[in-house]
Amino acid sequence: MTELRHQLAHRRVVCTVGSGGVGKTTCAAALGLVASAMGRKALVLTIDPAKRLASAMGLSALSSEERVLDVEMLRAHGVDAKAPLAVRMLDLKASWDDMVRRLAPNPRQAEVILANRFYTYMSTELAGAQEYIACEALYTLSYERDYDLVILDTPPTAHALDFLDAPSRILSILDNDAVKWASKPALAAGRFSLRILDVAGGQAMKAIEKITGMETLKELSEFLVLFEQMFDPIRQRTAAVQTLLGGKETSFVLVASPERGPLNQALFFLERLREWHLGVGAVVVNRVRHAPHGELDAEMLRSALLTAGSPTDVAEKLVDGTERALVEARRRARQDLRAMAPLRKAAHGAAFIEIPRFGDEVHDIRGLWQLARHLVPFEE
Amino acid sequence: MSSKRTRPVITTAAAPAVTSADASPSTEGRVLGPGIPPDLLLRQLHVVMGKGGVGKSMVSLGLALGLARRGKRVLLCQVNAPDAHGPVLGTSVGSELKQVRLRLTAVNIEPRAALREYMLMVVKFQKVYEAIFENRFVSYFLRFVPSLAEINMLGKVWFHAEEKDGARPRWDHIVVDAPATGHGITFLKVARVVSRTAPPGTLREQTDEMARVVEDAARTAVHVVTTPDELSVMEAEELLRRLSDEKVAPLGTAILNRVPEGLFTGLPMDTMRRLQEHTELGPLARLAVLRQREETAALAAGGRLVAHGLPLVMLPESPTENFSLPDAEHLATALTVDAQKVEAHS
Repeated sequence: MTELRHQLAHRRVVCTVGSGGVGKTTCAAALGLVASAMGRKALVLTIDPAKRLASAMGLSALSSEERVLDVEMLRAHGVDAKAPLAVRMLDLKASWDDMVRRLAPNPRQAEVILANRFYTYMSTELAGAQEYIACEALYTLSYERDYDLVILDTPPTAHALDFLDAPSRILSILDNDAVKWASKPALAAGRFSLRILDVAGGQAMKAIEKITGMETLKELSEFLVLFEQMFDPIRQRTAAVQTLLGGKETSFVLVASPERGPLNQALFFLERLREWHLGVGAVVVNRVRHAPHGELDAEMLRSALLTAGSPTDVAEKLVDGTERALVEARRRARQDLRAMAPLRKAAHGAAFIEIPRFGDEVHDIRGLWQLARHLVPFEE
Repeated sequence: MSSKRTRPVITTAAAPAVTSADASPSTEGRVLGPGIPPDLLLRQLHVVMGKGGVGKSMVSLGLALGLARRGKRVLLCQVNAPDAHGPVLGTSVGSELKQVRLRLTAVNIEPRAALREYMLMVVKFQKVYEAIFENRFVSYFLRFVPSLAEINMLGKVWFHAEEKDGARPRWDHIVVDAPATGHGITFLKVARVVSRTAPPGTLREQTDEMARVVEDAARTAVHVVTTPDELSVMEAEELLRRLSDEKVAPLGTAILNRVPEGLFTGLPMDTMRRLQEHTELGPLARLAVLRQREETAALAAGGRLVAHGLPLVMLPESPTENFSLPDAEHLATALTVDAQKVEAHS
């Protein structure tokens, strides 16, 4: 399949998406190696890599600084590298704070926002906040730096939709009729609560107060007034991010593993990507179980084991075990094949790539390169 | 509590199924050791946690079936997830309580429906609720109340835990199929976090009551599910550490799911390893060597989980291609069988 190779050669942005624990980060890193082998200067932007994988890539948990894996270093690990590969861990909270500092009218207001409880909540807990800032960082890095390709390992989402929806969702929360109406001008004049009170026939405020306490509303109004001044730049930026993600320069690589949950998530995600006319580069199913081909010649195995020095009773048990292991391996392979069928069907038009389950987890550059060659087989 | 328990052994041959008196006759397959210890099983609230894809939902379903089989009234809750229980039970489970089997009721808690129920409890009158919370202006502001969705969902679990049928609780047991790891911790912690930070009022009082139920060692047990692979075990260990360090909720058992049958355990593999380079037999020898490594990994995983000082329950890999009700029934047996019956059979 040459399609994924084509994407990596021509796109500016590749996003790996999927539920947590399916090997999304590993795939993003492996795609980075493919880009390097094609001679493209790429950046892999990751959120929360597993410790061993992070250290293999030279990342430390304490720093979000960029690391460059140079060509010599990659070649020493067996990678057919032609360009350096940059890797970077994204600190989501710090990225939010950076954005506020950049967009706030003055440093003093920025500090007030940063200290606000609603801001803290929005930037860390609110559904879509992580996804939003990851898109933001992606945009900054792909336009303000000179990489040929940026590969974003998207945050693991509880719901696949969160990532695609994030920019517009954040915008709809910050910028809607209700907020505008309530915050201008009554909010600034300190009559915020009265105005809301009118809206819902006098009951809303009392109920919210009863549940959350008065302080909450004061803080919320402060947050909205301050944040309101940043709406315009955020709105512009969000529109630009959406254009980038939806344009011809970006492609999405969907990653799943052959269990029911992750496959369903991938299927759901694929539907959404298509619905929104976003470019699906490839569908990857990681850690698929395969069975060896052919039949087991028990007699041949038995005599080979005996020749190799196994006592008769041990050889018998080993042959028996192998027979049962083969039956089991076939059953597992059928199970995965069947589970993948709906996704394979839905992937029509996009490359469907199965990565076999390796004996061990991929945790070093050599392993990543092996994975890379499965993702994009090289013609020799 | 767990000191009496011997360390379970992975059987090398298929052991006969251990069936309790009223077990479904269709349960077949291996039982690898004792299920959840009886004293833990008595707790009312069972929260099943783990990484995505380890079989958490099926373990929850199995536990609920096992408890219902013992004559208890059970409520099985999914938390805002695609319905995993319905398809196995041959039905669908939504945000309304639905009786799915004898003594077993299921529900899929959704934040919007839970918010509505919770607010109705606070506000009391339907009309008032509609005027307030279904007002689109107000619903925007509610999004900013930190963790409201989680509070509502946990609140619904708590509400049912406190529900009475005359003098006795309406539900003997509530089994919660919790959200995957990170979200699961947030879900369990939300009540305590909010009760500590909320200003005095209804919210603080209610979240404090919720937190007291979640933290009550006489009522609640958290079971951590993992499969034997390295990544899942690491995540399970991290989860166990966080649950106890942060005192989120009392621990129940560690559940090692999909333990492979012991085909090669105890056998010398050196000859097999040598055959890996054999032209015709190589692939099969590699299969055998990898399969033996899986067994070793499962044993090691069991050891690592036991080291956290809580009882270990081992569940066999399901031998069928599509998980269905008989598999769930078998999990029910494996989860609730007690140590004496296992010993009687071995």
